[in-house]
Amino acid sequence: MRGMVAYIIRRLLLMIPLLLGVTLIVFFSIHLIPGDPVMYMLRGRMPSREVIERMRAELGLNLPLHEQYFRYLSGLLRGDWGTSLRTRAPVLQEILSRYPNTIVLAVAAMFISVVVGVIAGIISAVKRYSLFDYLSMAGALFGVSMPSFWLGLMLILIFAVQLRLLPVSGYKSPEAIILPAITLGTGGAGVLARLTRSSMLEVLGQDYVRTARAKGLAERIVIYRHALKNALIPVLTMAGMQFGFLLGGAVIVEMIFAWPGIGRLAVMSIYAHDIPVVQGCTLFFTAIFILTNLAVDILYAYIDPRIRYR
Amino acid sequence: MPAPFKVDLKGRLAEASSTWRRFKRNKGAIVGLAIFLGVVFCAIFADFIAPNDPYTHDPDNALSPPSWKYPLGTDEYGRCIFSRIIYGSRISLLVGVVSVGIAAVVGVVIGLIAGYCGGIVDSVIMRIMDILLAFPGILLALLIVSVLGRNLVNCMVAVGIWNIPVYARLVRGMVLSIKETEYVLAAKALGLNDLRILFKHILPNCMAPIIVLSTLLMPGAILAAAGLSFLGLGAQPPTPEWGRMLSEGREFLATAWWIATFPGIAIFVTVMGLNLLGDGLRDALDPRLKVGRV
Repeated sequence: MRGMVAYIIRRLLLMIPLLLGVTLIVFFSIHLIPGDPVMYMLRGRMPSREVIERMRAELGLNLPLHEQYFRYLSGLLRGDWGTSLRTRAPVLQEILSRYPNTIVLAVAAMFISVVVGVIAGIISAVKRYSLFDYLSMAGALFGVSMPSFWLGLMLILIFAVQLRLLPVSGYKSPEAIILPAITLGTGGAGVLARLTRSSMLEVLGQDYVRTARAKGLAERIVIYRHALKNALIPVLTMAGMQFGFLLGGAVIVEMIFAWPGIGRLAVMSIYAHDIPVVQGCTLFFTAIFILTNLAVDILYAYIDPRIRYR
Repeated sequence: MPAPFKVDLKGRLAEASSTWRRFKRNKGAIVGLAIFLGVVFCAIFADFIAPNDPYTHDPDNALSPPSWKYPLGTDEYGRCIFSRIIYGSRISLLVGVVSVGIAAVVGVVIGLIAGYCGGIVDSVIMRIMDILLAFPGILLALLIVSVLGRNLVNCMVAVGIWNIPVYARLVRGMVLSIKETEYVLAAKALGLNDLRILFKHILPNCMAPIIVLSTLLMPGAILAAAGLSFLGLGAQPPTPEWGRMLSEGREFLATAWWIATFPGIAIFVTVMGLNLLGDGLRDALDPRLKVGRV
């Protein structure tokens, strides 16, 4: 137990420089472009000199760069993530109001990925070279190769436009999540199916599985009690990483289905040159991604004790 | 004076032929290679294959379904979808090659330096790479495009930067083990300078995994760039880019399904072909990478 606590503390400490590095990149992203960041943010508009000066003062652009960064960092810690140029609302408020929608979508997609991917992978490995194996692996390849934005449109075309079974977009009715979740979860299901299959096949070839079979145990017990537990360790890691990719992928899916999440907010902010919101969304998504990876690593160390002693 | 190293041409040929034999045995890889060559063929001979000009408007035939004149129908301006898809293969391949190329060149150099120098240089470089890897999915590319501006070149740069850490990590890991091998120690003992050792002796031995990684990353790069164009952040109208075409067909989904459907199939088939080809090359050239493939 002490080893586990030490491992968690070490991982949490390692997270701090990583998060600082992310804030550095996000902060300096706007300073990397040549010219005045304010003029860039106001691109397409004709502001008066007073407006430009006021914005420069508000953003602290008249301060030296390192002071600007520390101001930005202390603002982040105090919950002041800047103000949206488009709505004049605080950036953090804009993000937090949409955050639950993105999480709901990502969790629903994750559920589809894990259930479909892992079950298909297990059956494929157990029934290796069967028709099911070929079909599910072909399906997995399709899932991995299919652009989510195209799959989303095709699902809309079939289930919303032609069959009129599900809504085209929106989020008010519970069934509105079905199409976006399938769109977002399909790629992950393909990845997990392939990984589960190869991991299961590797485990099924191990000596302890052969011993279990030699003892005369029923095949079901060999597969579910002996093989599956070990085969799922790399799958768990990948599933955790998938969650981060789902957050990234949600950007496009939220746009297709007009799902009011952070991804849609980020893209709409890019259209409007609302850089503070784009920076805020990127930072928020990345922090969630890092935290998710940390949670997966801790879970991984809990399942496989060799990890925490490394 | 260091002794010149002889190139074992016979050995290299035998190695290539055994790699090709292993590759040939994988049916999926052959299908992938055929698809890839098909896309390359379309890109090179687009002027001869496309039945119509991809930019010419034909208002009388706007939103026409597939016909003999327009095999895959027309868009809202009456432009031939088939011809635009054929020309679009040029953009997709260009995006794939340039963005992966940017990532490969920068990532390999970074990985070589980190692995060879070691110590503080290695630590600093790899922590920066960790930070870049901390950005989930397409978000880093979105941030870069939002700052640099919305166009195809910036889109390629963004996708390239996003993939740099993957190369850096791979090459660094390889350099760490290669630099301890006897032939590198021998080269050092002969007094060769570090640059020569890095680029003449270490890099050539990292090439197989780098090639495999490039083919594995290319489908993802094409998908990401198409995704950015779909969002209006990559190729701009009237460029016949597949992601952009798909996006343009979105509002006509109920009345002209072909506008969004066929460019999507083109992306799907190309990405699937590259996935199969990448898997086949990995198995034939460097089976060690098999575990990390997703």
